[in-house]
Amino acid sequence: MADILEMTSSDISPARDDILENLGIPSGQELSSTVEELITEALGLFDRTCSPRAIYAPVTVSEFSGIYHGEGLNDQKTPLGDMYEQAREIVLFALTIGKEITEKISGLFLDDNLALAGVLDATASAGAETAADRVEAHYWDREISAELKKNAPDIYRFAPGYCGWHITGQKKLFRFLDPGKIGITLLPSYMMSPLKSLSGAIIVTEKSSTFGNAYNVCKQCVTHWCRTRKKIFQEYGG
Amino acid sequence: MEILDRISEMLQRGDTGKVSALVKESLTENIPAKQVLDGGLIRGMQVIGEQYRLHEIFLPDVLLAAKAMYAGMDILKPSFIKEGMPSLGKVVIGTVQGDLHDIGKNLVGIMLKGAGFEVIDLGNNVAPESFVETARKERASVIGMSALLTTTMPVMAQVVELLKAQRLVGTIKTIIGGAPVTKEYAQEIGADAYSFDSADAVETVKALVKPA
Repeated sequence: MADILEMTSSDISPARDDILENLGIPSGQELSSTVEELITEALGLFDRTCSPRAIYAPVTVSEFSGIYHGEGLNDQKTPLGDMYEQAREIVLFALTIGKEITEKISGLFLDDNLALAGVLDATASAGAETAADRVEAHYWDREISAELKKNAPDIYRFAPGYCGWHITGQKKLFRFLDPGKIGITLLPSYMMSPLKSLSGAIIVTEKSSTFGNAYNVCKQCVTHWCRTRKKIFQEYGG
Repeated sequence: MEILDRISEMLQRGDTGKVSALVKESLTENIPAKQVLDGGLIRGMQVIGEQYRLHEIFLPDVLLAAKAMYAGMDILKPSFIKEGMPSLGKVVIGTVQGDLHDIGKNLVGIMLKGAGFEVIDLGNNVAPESFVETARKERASVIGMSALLTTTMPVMAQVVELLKAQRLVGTIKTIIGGAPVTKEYAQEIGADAYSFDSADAVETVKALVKPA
């Protein structure tokens, strides 16, 4: 049974460093007053135009196995493939920050308000990731038993199209979760509309891993966001 | 010429108001519009493009400068009514069918305009026929395609095949880019070029339109 999580824009207001990272600006970089003003303006627009909603549902290992294997196109060896069978909890989720903000970004580009459009886009992407963090934290607070929490499990997030989970995995994920209920549709290319939408699986496991170089996808990965997220969650969420 | 240096400098600062005022002033001083375009606006954007390529400045700085450039170009446009805006060539760009991402494509368009190309932006979710038909009608030299999904990359191959079928290969060159796209993929599908970012795209398109 899927639950819907309604959020507010302030719930998912992105961190400044995350916006800067999306703009390719290193943390600690001194910015001009014009760029600072753009970020402030973009955050204001974000606040007024985003309408975040998420849908999530726990699944059993056997249900997830069917969803994960999707159309049979995953990499042969993936972190998720090696992890999910030992998971204590698996939750499917999809979320969107709404259509209006995407339309706003396009409109700004069309009006040649290029800089604000670019900064708002970076803000919206960071906001969508923050919304996924929020879903994770919500599930942790509400659904994870005190007993499991005592064992200090790790929490990971995977998405079709990343980490060796082929993007065609979206098809079965959508069939199971029905994100149409919160206004997300899946295009034939497996892309979600509205643009600033995310989907995936949250894995709670007592079998910790930083994945190292055992997986080709980890060797090629340049962000290692999974490790950063894990650290942040341990410090503030877990 | 000092006023052209100032236009270039103000453009690099992203000061739209000052660029507009200086472009108007240079026309009042009877400086030819082509000279203002090349020696002020495009020269300023070239500096911006190079600084961005070297990571000395960042995306918002490029976008602020581009906005200033567009404002300057709008003032110059009436001066080019008879012969049309001078350009290095026409480039049709778009994000391929099935893909709605367009920030990267927009940035490529901005940088190409800044370098002096005429850009026809078809937006996102563009059908292969639309790329070819527009490029043919507009007599464009280059089609630029962007894809952010592995599932939509085959559309790029379809465009190349359509060009082959219409015997337009060589007349209309193709350049592809986007997160999952590689140089090897460009070679595999017979695209003329691959580019990894917007600054590189400008240099690559310049090379594509250069007479052999």
